[in-house]
Amino acid sequence: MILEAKNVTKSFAGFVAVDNVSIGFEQQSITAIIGPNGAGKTTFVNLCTGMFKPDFGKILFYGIDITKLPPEKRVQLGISRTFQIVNIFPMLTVEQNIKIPLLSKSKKVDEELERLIETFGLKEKRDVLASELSHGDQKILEIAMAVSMKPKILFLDEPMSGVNPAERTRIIDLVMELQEKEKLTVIIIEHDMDVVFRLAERIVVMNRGKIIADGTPEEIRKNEIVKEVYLKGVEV
Amino acid sequence: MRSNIVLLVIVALSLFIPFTGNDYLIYLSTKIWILVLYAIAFNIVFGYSGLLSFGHALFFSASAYTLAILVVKTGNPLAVGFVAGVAVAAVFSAGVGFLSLRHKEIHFAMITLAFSMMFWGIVMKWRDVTGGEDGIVGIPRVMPVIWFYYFTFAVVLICAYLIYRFVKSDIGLVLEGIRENETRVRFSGHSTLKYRLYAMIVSGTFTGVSGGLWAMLDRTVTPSISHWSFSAMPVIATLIGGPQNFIGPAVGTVIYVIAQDVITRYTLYWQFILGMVVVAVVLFFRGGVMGVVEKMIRGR
Repeated sequence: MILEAKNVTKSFAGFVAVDNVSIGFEQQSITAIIGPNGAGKTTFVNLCTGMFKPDFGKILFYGIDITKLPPEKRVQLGISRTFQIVNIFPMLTVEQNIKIPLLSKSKKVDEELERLIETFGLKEKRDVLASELSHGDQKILEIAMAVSMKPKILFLDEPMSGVNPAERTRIIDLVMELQEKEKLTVIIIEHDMDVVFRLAERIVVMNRGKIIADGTPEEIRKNEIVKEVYLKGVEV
Repeated sequence: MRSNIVLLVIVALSLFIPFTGNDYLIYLSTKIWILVLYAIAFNIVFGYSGLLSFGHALFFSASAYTLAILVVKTGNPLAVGFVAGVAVAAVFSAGVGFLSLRHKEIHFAMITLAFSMMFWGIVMKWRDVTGGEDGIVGIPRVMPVIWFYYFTFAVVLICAYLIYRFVKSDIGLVLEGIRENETRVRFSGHSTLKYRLYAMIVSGTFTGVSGGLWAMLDRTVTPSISHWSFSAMPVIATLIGGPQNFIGPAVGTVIYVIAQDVITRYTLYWQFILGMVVVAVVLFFRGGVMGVVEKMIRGR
Protein backbone atom coordinates (compact mmCIF):
# COMPACT_ATOMS: atom_id res chain seq x y z
CA MET A 1 0.00 0.00 0.00
CA ILE A 2 1.54 3.29 -1.06
CA LEU A 3 -0.98 5.62 0.52
CA GLU A 4 -3.58 4.99 3.17
CA ALA A 5 -6.22 7.17 4.77
CA LYS A 6 -7.51 5.98 8.11
CA ASN A 7 -10.81 7.34 9.38
CA VAL A 8 -10.15 10.84 8.08
CA THR A 9 -12.74 13.49 8.75
CA LYS A 10 -12.71 17.13 7.77
CA SER A 11 -15.44 19.67 8.29
CA PHE A 12 -15.75 23.34 7.43
CA ALA A 13 -17.96 25.40 9.73
CA GLY A 14 -20.22 22.49 10.56
CA PHE A 15 -20.33 21.07 7.03
CA VAL A 16 -18.71 17.63 6.99
CA ALA A 17 -16.81 17.52 3.70
CA VAL A 18 -15.03 14.22 4.30
CA ASP A 19 -16.73 11.90 6.76
CA ASN A 20 -14.71 9.12 8.37
CA VAL A 21 -13.10 7.89 5.16
CA SER A 22 -10.74 4.91 5.17
CA ILE A 23 -9.10 3.78 1.96
CA GLY A 24 -5.78 2.54 0.61
CA PHE A 25 -4.10 2.74 -2.79
CA GLU A 26 -1.91 0.08 -4.37
CA GLN A 27 1.38 1.02 -5.95
CA GLN A 28 1.44 1.68 -9.68
CA SER A 29 -2.31 1.72 -10.13
CA ILE A 30 -4.71 4.21 -11.66
CA THR A 31 -7.69 5.02 -9.49
CA ALA A 32 -10.47 7.41 -10.38
CA ILE A 33 -12.52 9.17 -7.73
CA ILE A 34 -15.94 10.17 -8.98
CA GLY A 35 -19.06 11.60 -7.40
CA PRO A 36 -21.38 14.58 -7.59
CA ASN A 37 -20.21 18.10 -6.85
CA GLY A 38 -19.65 18.65 -3.16
CA ALA A 39 -19.09 14.92 -2.54
CA GLY A 40 -15.75 15.65 -0.85
CA LYS A 41 -13.41 14.46 -3.63
CA THR A 42 -11.23 17.54 -3.74
CA THR A 43 -11.21 17.86 0.04
CA PHE A 44 -10.03 14.27 0.25
CA VAL A 45 -7.17 15.04 -2.16
CA ASN A 46 -6.38 18.17 -0.17
CA LEU A 47 -6.06 16.04 2.96
CA CYS A 48 -3.75 13.56 1.21
CA THR A 49 -1.51 16.27 -0.24
CA GLY A 50 -1.31 18.52 2.80
CA MET A 51 -3.43 21.47 1.73
CA PHE A 52 -5.50 20.87 4.89
CA LYS A 53 -4.98 18.75 7.94
CA PRO A 54 -7.82 16.40 8.88
CA ASP A 55 -9.84 17.04 12.05
CA PHE A 56 -9.58 13.33 12.86
CA GLY A 57 -7.82 10.35 11.38
CA LYS A 58 -4.45 9.65 9.82
CA ILE A 59 -2.76 9.69 6.44
CA LEU A 60 -0.04 7.10 5.96
CA PHE A 61 2.53 7.04 3.15
CA TYR A 62 4.32 3.68 2.89
CA GLY A 63 3.09 3.14 6.43
CA ILE A 64 4.64 6.35 7.75
CA ASP A 65 2.32 8.87 9.41
CA ILE A 66 2.36 12.07 7.34
CA THR A 67 -0.83 13.59 8.75
CA LYS A 68 0.95 16.63 10.16
CA LEU A 69 3.49 17.23 7.39
CA PRO A 70 3.20 20.45 5.33
CA PRO A 71 2.75 20.12 1.55
CA GLU A 72 6.40 20.82 0.70
CA LYS A 73 7.55 17.90 2.89
CA ARG A 74 5.01 15.57 1.29
CA VAL A 75 6.20 16.63 -2.13
CA GLN A 76 9.73 15.79 -1.08
CA LEU A 77 8.52 12.32 -0.08
CA GLY A 78 6.92 11.83 -3.50
CA ILE A 79 3.33 13.08 -3.34
CA SER A 80 2.54 15.48 -6.15
CA ARG A 81 -0.61 17.02 -7.54
CA THR A 82 -2.40 19.29 -9.96
CA PHE A 83 -5.37 21.48 -9.08
CA GLN A 84 -8.92 21.77 -10.29
CA ILE A 85 -8.36 25.39 -11.26
CA VAL A 86 -5.09 25.75 -13.15
CA ASN A 87 -2.40 26.51 -10.61
CA ILE A 88 0.76 27.71 -12.34
CA PHE A 89 2.93 30.85 -12.41
CA PRO A 90 1.06 32.95 -14.97
CA MET A 91 3.64 35.70 -15.35
CA LEU A 92 6.62 33.37 -15.72
CA THR A 93 7.62 31.57 -18.90
CA VAL A 94 6.85 27.90 -19.54
CA GLU A 95 10.49 27.06 -18.94
CA GLN A 96 10.58 28.96 -15.64
CA ASN A 97 7.35 27.29 -14.55
CA ILE A 98 8.90 23.86 -14.89
CA LYS A 99 12.23 24.95 -13.48
CA ILE A 100 10.82 25.96 -10.09
CA PRO A 101 9.60 22.47 -9.09
CA LEU A 102 12.70 20.92 -10.68
CA LEU A 103 14.94 22.99 -8.42
CA SER A 104 13.48 21.38 -5.32
CA LYS A 105 14.34 17.84 -6.29
CA SER A 106 16.62 17.39 -9.25
CA LYS A 107 20.36 17.79 -9.40
CA LYS A 108 20.48 17.79 -13.18
CA VAL A 109 18.01 20.62 -13.63
CA ASP A 110 18.89 21.63 -17.20
CA GLU A 111 18.94 18.08 -18.52
CA GLU A 112 15.61 17.25 -16.90
CA LEU A 113 14.12 20.50 -18.14
CA GLU A 114 14.91 19.62 -21.76
CA ARG A 115 13.50 16.13 -21.34
CA LEU A 116 10.22 17.38 -19.83
CA ILE A 117 9.75 20.12 -22.42
CA GLU A 118 10.25 17.48 -25.10
CA THR A 119 7.92 14.91 -23.50
CA PHE A 120 5.12 17.37 -22.99
CA GLY A 121 5.39 18.93 -26.42
CA LEU A 122 6.11 22.42 -25.10
CA LYS A 123 9.25 23.05 -27.13
CA GLU A 124 7.90 25.86 -29.30
CA LYS A 125 6.28 27.52 -26.32
CA ARG A 126 9.14 27.38 -23.84
CA ASP A 127 9.68 31.15 -23.77
CA VAL A 128 5.98 32.03 -23.79
CA LEU A 129 4.37 33.39 -20.62
CA ALA A 130 2.23 30.69 -19.02
CA SER A 131 -0.75 33.06 -18.99
CA GLU A 132 -0.59 33.24 -22.79
CA LEU A 133 -0.95 29.47 -23.29
CA SER A 134 -4.26 27.87 -24.27
CA HIS A 135 -6.23 26.41 -21.39
CA GLY A 136 -5.36 22.87 -22.47
CA ASP A 137 -1.65 23.69 -22.64
CA GLN A 138 -1.85 25.24 -19.18
CA LYS A 139 -3.33 21.98 -17.88
CA ILE A 140 -0.53 20.06 -19.59
CA LEU A 141 2.08 22.44 -18.20
CA GLU A 142 0.73 21.86 -14.72
CA ILE A 143 1.00 18.10 -15.16
CA ALA A 144 4.58 18.58 -16.39
CA MET A 145 5.33 20.60 -13.25
CA ALA A 146 3.77 17.94 -11.03
CA VAL A 147 5.73 15.05 -12.56
CA SER A 148 9.00 16.99 -12.76
CA MET A 149 9.57 16.19 -9.10
CA LYS A 150 9.55 12.47 -9.88
CA PRO A 151 6.63 11.69 -7.60
CA LYS A 152 5.62 8.20 -6.58
CA ILE A 153 1.99 9.17 -6.42
CA LEU A 154 0.27 11.79 -8.53
CA PHE A 155 -3.11 13.35 -7.83
CA LEU A 156 -4.89 14.90 -10.80
CA ASP A 157 -7.87 17.02 -9.84
CA GLU A 158 -10.13 17.31 -12.89
CA PRO A 159 -7.37 17.48 -15.50
CA MET A 160 -9.94 17.60 -18.31
CA SER A 161 -12.11 20.47 -17.12
CA GLY A 162 -12.34 23.10 -19.81
CA VAL A 163 -10.11 21.12 -22.18
CA ASN A 164 -11.17 20.46 -25.80
CA PRO A 165 -11.53 16.86 -27.10
CA ALA A 166 -8.25 16.80 -29.05
CA GLU A 167 -6.32 17.99 -26.02
CA ARG A 168 -8.20 15.49 -23.84
CA THR A 169 -6.86 12.62 -25.88
CA ARG A 170 -3.37 14.08 -25.58
CA ILE A 171 -3.67 14.31 -21.80
CA ILE A 172 -4.99 10.73 -21.53
CA ASP A 173 -2.10 9.43 -23.62
CA LEU A 174 0.39 11.42 -21.56
CA VAL A 175 -0.98 10.14 -18.26
CA MET A 176 -0.96 6.51 -19.44
CA GLU A 177 2.54 6.85 -20.83
CA LEU A 178 3.86 8.47 -17.66
CA GLN A 179 2.17 5.94 -15.42
CA GLU A 180 3.90 3.15 -17.24
CA LYS A 181 7.32 4.74 -17.70
CA GLU A 182 7.67 6.33 -14.28
CA LYS A 183 5.86 3.53 -12.44
CA LEU A 184 3.48 6.11 -11.07
CA THR A 185 0.48 5.65 -8.87
CA VAL A 186 -2.21 7.94 -10.26
CA ILE A 187 -5.35 9.12 -8.52
CA ILE A 188 -7.62 11.15 -10.72
CA ILE A 189 -10.77 13.11 -9.96
CA GLU A 190 -12.80 13.41 -13.14
CA HIS A 191 -16.33 14.09 -14.27
CA ASP A 192 -15.91 12.87 -17.83
CA MET A 193 -17.02 9.23 -17.59
CA ASP A 194 -15.46 8.43 -20.92
CA VAL A 195 -12.06 9.43 -19.55
CA VAL A 196 -12.68 7.65 -16.26
CA PHE A 197 -13.59 4.34 -17.85
CA ARG A 198 -10.72 4.55 -20.32
CA LEU A 199 -8.08 5.28 -17.72
CA ALA A 200 -9.01 3.76 -14.40
CA GLU A 201 -8.38 0.27 -13.16
CA ARG A 202 -10.33 1.06 -10.05
CA ILE A 203 -13.13 3.51 -9.40
CA VAL A 204 -14.04 5.00 -6.05
CA VAL A 205 -17.41 6.72 -5.76
CA MET A 206 -17.96 9.39 -3.15
CA ASN A 207 -21.16 11.03 -2.02
CA ARG A 208 -21.73 13.43 0.88
CA GLY A 209 -18.25 12.90 2.25
CA LYS A 210 -18.42 9.10 2.27
CA ILE A 211 -17.23 6.36 -0.04
CA ILE A 212 -20.34 4.63 -1.33
CA ALA A 213 -18.71 2.26 -3.79
CA ASP A 214 -15.24 1.02 -4.63
CA GLY A 215 -14.37 -1.47 -7.33
CA THR A 216 -13.32 -2.23 -10.88
CA PRO A 217 -14.98 -0.26 -13.71
CA GLU A 218 -17.11 -3.35 -14.43
CA GLU A 219 -18.36 -3.53 -10.85
CA ILE A 220 -19.09 0.18 -10.71
CA ARG A 221 -21.01 0.05 -13.97
CA LYS A 222 -23.29 -2.57 -12.46
CA ASN A 223 -23.60 -1.02 -9.00
CA GLU A 224 -27.19 -0.02 -8.30
CA ILE A 225 -26.46 2.63 -5.66
CA VAL A 226 -23.98 4.33 -7.95
CA LYS A 227 -26.49 4.38 -10.76
CA GLU A 228 -28.97 5.93 -8.39
CA VAL A 229 -26.68 8.69 -7.07
CA TYR A 230 -24.43 9.54 -9.89
CA LEU A 231 -24.61 7.75 -13.16
CA LYS A 232 -28.30 8.37 -13.63
CA GLY A 233 -28.87 9.33 -17.21
CA VAL A 234 -25.20 9.03 -18.13
CA GLU A 235 -24.33 6.64 -20.95
CA VAL A 236 -21.68 4.22 -19.80
CA MET B 1 18.31 47.45 -25.43
CA ARG B 2 17.61 51.12 -25.96
CA SER B 3 16.85 51.64 -22.28
CA ASN B 4 20.14 49.92 -21.42
CA ILE B 5 22.02 52.42 -23.57
CA VAL B 6 20.21 55.33 -21.92
CA LEU B 7 21.09 53.86 -18.54
CA LEU B 8 24.75 53.51 -19.48
CA VAL B 9 24.87 57.10 -20.71
CA ILE B 10 23.35 58.38 -17.47
CA VAL B 11 25.78 56.36 -15.36
CA ALA B 12 28.69 57.52 -17.52
CA LEU B 13 27.60 61.16 -17.28
CA SER B 14 27.38 60.94 -13.52
CA LEU B 15 31.11 60.14 -13.53
CA PHE B 16 31.69 63.78 -14.51
CA ILE B 17 29.70 65.29 -11.65
CA PRO B 18 32.82 65.89 -9.50
CA PHE B 19 34.32 67.97 -12.33
CA THR B 20 31.65 70.61 -11.79
CA GLY B 21 33.50 71.54 -8.61
CA ASN B 22 30.14 72.20 -6.98
CA ASP B 23 30.48 70.70 -3.49
CA TYR B 24 26.77 70.62 -2.82
CA LEU B 25 26.07 68.84 -6.09
CA ILE B 26 28.78 66.29 -5.35
CA TYR B 27 27.38 65.74 -1.86
CA LEU B 28 23.82 65.37 -3.16
CA SER B 29 24.92 62.96 -5.89
CA THR B 30 26.84 60.81 -3.42
CA LYS B 31 23.76 60.72 -1.23
CA ILE B 32 21.61 59.70 -4.20
CA TRP B 33 23.96 56.81 -5.01
CA ILE B 34 23.78 55.60 -1.41
CA LEU B 35 19.99 55.80 -1.36
CA VAL B 36 19.85 54.06 -4.74
CA LEU B 37 21.62 51.08 -3.18
CA TYR B 38 19.26 51.27 -0.18
CA ALA B 39 16.20 51.13 -2.47
CA ILE B 40 17.54 48.36 -4.72
CA ALA B 41 18.41 46.27 -1.66
CA PHE B 42 14.98 46.95 -0.17
CA ASN B 43 13.29 45.87 -3.39
CA ILE B 44 14.69 42.32 -3.10
CA VAL B 45 12.11 41.86 -0.35
CA PHE B 46 9.40 44.11 -1.78
CA GLY B 47 9.36 43.74 -5.56
CA TYR B 48 11.00 40.34 -5.90
CA SER B 49 9.54 38.53 -2.88
CA GLY B 50 6.24 40.38 -2.59
CA LEU B 51 6.69 41.39 1.05
CA LEU B 52 6.32 44.97 2.24
CA SER B 53 8.99 45.63 4.86
CA PHE B 54 8.37 48.74 6.85
CA GLY B 55 11.48 48.33 8.93
CA HIS B 56 14.48 48.59 6.66
CA ALA B 57 15.66 51.69 8.52
CA LEU B 58 16.59 49.23 11.26
CA PHE B 59 19.24 47.53 9.09
CA PHE B 60 20.40 50.83 7.62
CA SER B 61 20.82 52.55 10.98
CA ALA B 62 22.14 49.48 12.82
CA SER B 63 25.03 49.45 10.35
CA ALA B 64 25.56 53.23 10.53
CA TYR B 65 25.46 53.28 14.33
CA THR B 66 27.78 50.29 14.63
CA LEU B 67 30.30 52.09 12.46
CA ALA B 68 29.95 55.34 14.41
CA ILE B 69 30.23 53.67 17.81
CA LEU B 70 33.24 51.53 16.85
CA VAL B 71 35.08 54.39 15.19
CA VAL B 72 34.22 57.37 17.40
CA LYS B 73 33.79 55.75 20.82
CA THR B 74 36.39 53.00 20.68
CA GLY B 75 38.79 54.37 18.08
CA ASN B 76 38.70 51.51 15.56
CA PRO B 77 39.69 52.12 11.96
CA LEU B 78 36.85 53.03 9.57
CA ALA B 79 37.21 49.82 7.59
CA VAL B 80 36.62 47.78 10.73
CA GLY B 81 33.55 49.84 11.59
CA PHE B 82 32.20 49.50 8.09
CA VAL B 83 32.59 45.73 7.91
CA ALA B 84 31.26 45.26 11.43
CA GLY B 85 28.26 47.44 10.59
CA VAL B 86 27.39 45.35 7.56
CA ALA B 87 27.76 42.18 9.64
CA VAL B 88 25.41 43.57 12.30
CA ALA B 89 22.85 44.44 9.61
CA ALA B 90 23.09 40.88 8.28
CA VAL B 91 22.54 39.39 11.74
CA PHE B 92 19.64 41.74 12.46
CA SER B 93 17.96 40.92 9.16
CA ALA B 94 18.29 37.21 9.87
CA GLY B 95 16.77 37.71 13.34
CA VAL B 96 13.95 39.98 12.25
CA GLY B 97 13.32 37.75 9.22
CA PHE B 98 13.14 34.63 11.34
CA LEU B 99 10.62 36.22 13.70
CA SER B 100 8.46 37.99 11.13
CA LEU B 101 8.44 35.91 7.94
CA ARG B 102 5.80 33.51 9.16
CA HIS B 103 3.43 36.43 8.67
CA LYS B 104 2.41 38.07 5.46
CA GLU B 105 1.04 41.29 4.05
CA ILE B 106 -0.02 43.86 6.64
CA HIS B 107 1.12 41.67 9.54
CA PHE B 108 4.62 41.41 8.14
CA ALA B 109 4.71 45.15 7.53
CA MET B 110 3.58 45.89 11.09
CA ILE B 111 6.03 43.47 12.72
CA THR B 112 8.99 44.86 10.80
CA LEU B 113 7.80 48.37 11.66
CA ALA B 114 7.59 47.42 15.34
CA PHE B 115 11.13 46.04 15.37
CA SER B 116 12.55 49.12 13.72
CA MET B 117 10.70 51.45 16.11
CA MET B 118 12.02 49.42 19.03
CA PHE B 119 15.51 50.09 17.72
CA TRP B 120 14.65 53.76 17.29
CA GLY B 121 13.52 53.80 20.94
CA ILE B 122 16.82 52.31 22.06
CA VAL B 123 18.78 54.79 19.96
CA MET B 124 16.85 57.70 21.51
CA LYS B 125 17.15 56.54 25.12
CA TRP B 126 20.54 54.88 25.44
CA ARG B 127 22.39 58.17 25.49
CA ASP B 128 25.73 56.84 26.77
CA VAL B 129 26.21 54.71 23.72
CA THR B 130 24.15 56.28 20.96
CA GLY B 131 24.17 59.92 21.98
CA GLY B 132 20.39 59.98 22.13
CA GLU B 133 18.77 62.71 20.09
CA ASP B 134 22.13 64.33 19.32
CA GLY B 135 23.48 61.19 17.71
CA ILE B 136 27.20 60.61 17.28
CA VAL B 137 29.37 63.21 15.64
CA GLY B 138 33.00 63.20 14.60
CA ILE B 139 33.40 60.24 12.27
CA PRO B 140 36.71 61.11 10.58
CA ARG B 141 36.83 62.02 6.92
CA VAL B 142 38.01 59.05 4.88
CA MET B 143 39.13 60.83 1.76
CA PRO B 144 38.44 64.04 -0.16
CA VAL B 145 34.79 64.54 -1.12
CA ILE B 146 35.52 63.91 -4.78
CA TRP B 147 37.25 60.60 -4.09
CA PHE B 148 34.50 59.56 -1.76
CA TYR B 149 32.05 60.17 -4.58
CA TYR B 150 33.95 57.73 -6.81
CA PHE B 151 34.36 55.26 -3.97
CA THR B 152 30.59 55.29 -3.35
CA PHE B 153 29.91 55.08 -7.06
CA ALA B 154 32.08 51.94 -7.34
CA VAL B 155 30.69 50.26 -4.23
CA VAL B 156 27.09 50.90 -5.26
CA LEU B 157 27.64 49.60 -8.80
CA ILE B 158 29.36 46.45 -7.55
CA CYS B 159 26.61 45.84 -4.99
CA ALA B 160 23.89 46.50 -7.58
CA TYR B 161 25.55 43.98 -9.89
CA LEU B 162 25.67 41.37 -7.11
CA ILE B 163 22.00 42.00 -6.26
CA TYR B 164 21.15 41.67 -9.94
CA ARG B 165 22.92 38.32 -10.07
CA PHE B 166 21.01 37.26 -6.96
CA VAL B 167 17.54 38.13 -8.26
CA LYS B 168 18.31 36.46 -11.60
CA SER B 169 19.62 33.30 -9.92
CA ASP B 170 17.67 30.12 -9.20
CA ILE B 171 16.88 31.45 -5.73
CA GLY B 172 15.57 34.62 -7.35
CA LEU B 173 13.35 32.54 -9.64
CA VAL B 174 11.81 30.69 -6.70
CA LEU B 175 11.26 34.05 -4.97
CA GLU B 176 9.43 35.33 -8.04
CA GLY B 177 7.40 32.14 -7.95
CA ILE B 178 6.48 32.80 -4.32
CA ARG B 179 5.35 36.30 -5.23
CA GLU B 180 3.24 34.94 -8.11
CA ASN B 181 1.73 31.88 -6.48
CA GLU B 182 2.88 30.77 -3.07
CA THR B 183 0.69 27.65 -3.00
CA ARG B 184 2.31 26.35 -6.18
CA VAL B 185 5.78 26.91 -4.77
CA ARG B 186 4.93 24.89 -1.67
CA PHE B 187 3.45 22.15 -3.84
CA SER B 188 6.69 22.30 -5.82
CA GLY B 189 8.49 21.10 -2.73
CA HIS B 190 10.08 24.35 -1.56
CA SER B 191 9.98 25.78 1.94
CA THR B 192 8.84 29.33 1.21
CA LEU B 193 10.06 30.46 4.61
CA LYS B 194 13.62 29.45 3.79
CA TYR B 195 13.65 31.38 0.52
CA ARG B 196 12.12 34.46 2.09
CA LEU B 197 14.76 34.33 4.77
CA TYR B 198 17.48 34.28 2.09
CA ALA B 199 15.88 37.34 0.51
CA MET B 200 15.64 39.13 3.82
CA ILE B 201 19.29 38.50 4.73
CA VAL B 202 20.66 39.52 1.33
CA SER B 203 18.45 42.60 1.39
CA GLY B 204 19.40 43.52 4.97
CA THR B 205 23.10 43.02 4.31
CA PHE B 206 23.19 45.34 1.29
CA THR B 207 21.04 47.82 3.19
CA GLY B 208 23.80 47.69 5.80
CA VAL B 209 26.36 48.61 3.13
CA SER B 210 24.33 51.69 2.26
CA GLY B 211 24.03 52.59 5.95
CA GLY B 212 27.80 52.42 6.39
CA LEU B 213 28.39 54.64 3.36
CA TRP B 214 25.85 57.11 4.73
CA ALA B 215 27.69 57.38 8.06
CA MET B 216 30.96 58.00 6.22
CA LEU B 217 29.39 60.63 3.99
CA ASP B 218 27.63 62.59 6.73
CA ARG B 219 30.32 61.82 9.34
CA THR B 220 27.43 61.97 11.80
CA VAL B 221 24.65 59.58 12.71
CA THR B 222 21.37 60.78 14.18
CA PRO B 223 18.17 58.96 15.18
CA SER B 224 16.41 60.25 12.07
CA ILE B 225 17.88 57.32 10.10
CA SER B 226 16.23 54.92 12.58
CA HIS B 227 12.86 56.56 12.35
CA TRP B 228 10.00 54.84 10.53
CA SER B 229 9.89 57.61 7.96
CA PHE B 230 13.32 56.51 6.84
CA SER B 231 11.84 53.02 6.28
CA ALA B 232 9.11 54.62 4.21
CA MET B 233 11.59 56.28 1.89
CA PRO B 234 12.56 53.22 -0.18
CA VAL B 235 8.90 52.16 -0.21
CA ILE B 236 7.88 55.45 -1.80
CA ALA B 237 10.88 55.63 -4.11
CA THR B 238 10.22 52.07 -5.32
CA LEU B 239 6.54 52.76 -5.92
CA ILE B 240 7.45 55.83 -7.97
CA GLY B 241 10.12 54.02 -9.99
CA GLY B 242 8.42 50.65 -10.34
CA PRO B 243 8.95 47.59 -8.15
CA GLN B 244 8.81 45.06 -11.03
CA ASN B 245 11.84 46.50 -12.75
CA PHE B 246 15.37 46.07 -11.45
CA ILE B 247 16.34 49.72 -11.86
CA GLY B 248 12.86 50.98 -10.94
CA PRO B 249 13.84 51.70 -7.32
CA ALA B 250 16.96 53.53 -8.52
CA VAL B 251 14.97 55.76 -10.87
CA GLY B 252 12.43 56.39 -8.11
CA THR B 253 15.17 57.33 -5.65
CA VAL B 254 16.67 59.87 -8.02
CA ILE B 255 13.24 61.43 -8.54
CA TYR B 256 12.51 61.33 -4.81
CA VAL B 257 15.72 63.01 -3.67
CA ILE B 258 15.76 65.64 -6.40
CA ALA B 259 12.07 66.41 -5.87
CA GLN B 260 12.62 66.73 -2.16
CA ASP B 261 15.59 69.00 -2.73
CA VAL B 262 13.76 71.22 -5.22
CA ILE B 263 10.40 71.35 -3.45
CA THR B 264 11.90 72.32 -0.08
CA ARG B 265 13.23 75.49 -1.70
CA TYR B 266 9.66 76.63 -2.23
CA THR B 267 7.69 75.06 0.57
CA LEU B 268 8.31 73.24 3.82
CA TYR B 269 5.45 70.89 3.01
CA TRP B 270 7.43 68.81 0.54
CA GLN B 271 5.99 65.60 1.98
CA PHE B 272 2.51 66.79 1.03
CA ILE B 273 3.47 67.25 -2.59
CA LEU B 274 5.40 64.00 -2.71
CA GLY B 275 2.40 62.26 -1.16
CA MET B 276 0.22 63.48 -3.99
CA VAL B 277 2.75 62.20 -6.53
CA VAL B 278 2.75 58.77 -4.88
CA VAL B 279 -1.05 58.59 -4.82
CA ALA B 280 -1.15 59.51 -8.51
CA VAL B 281 1.47 56.89 -9.41
CA VAL B 282 -0.21 54.12 -7.41
CA LEU B 283 -3.64 54.95 -8.80
CA PHE B 284 -2.77 55.53 -12.45
CA PHE B 285 0.66 54.00 -13.16
CA ARG B 286 0.87 50.75 -11.24
CA GLY B 287 4.21 49.84 -12.79
CA GLY B 288 5.76 53.18 -11.80
CA VAL B 289 7.96 55.24 -14.08
CA MET B 290 9.80 52.19 -15.40
CA GLY B 291 6.51 50.48 -16.09
CA VAL B 292 5.56 53.38 -18.35
CA VAL B 293 8.97 53.34 -20.04
CA GLU B 294 8.72 49.58 -20.67
CA LYS B 295 5.29 50.00 -22.20
CA MET B 296 6.57 52.73 -24.49
CA ILE B 297 9.45 50.55 -25.67
CA ARG B 298 7.19 47.54 -26.26
CA GLY B 299 4.51 49.61 -27.96
CA ARG B 300 6.96 50.67 -30.62
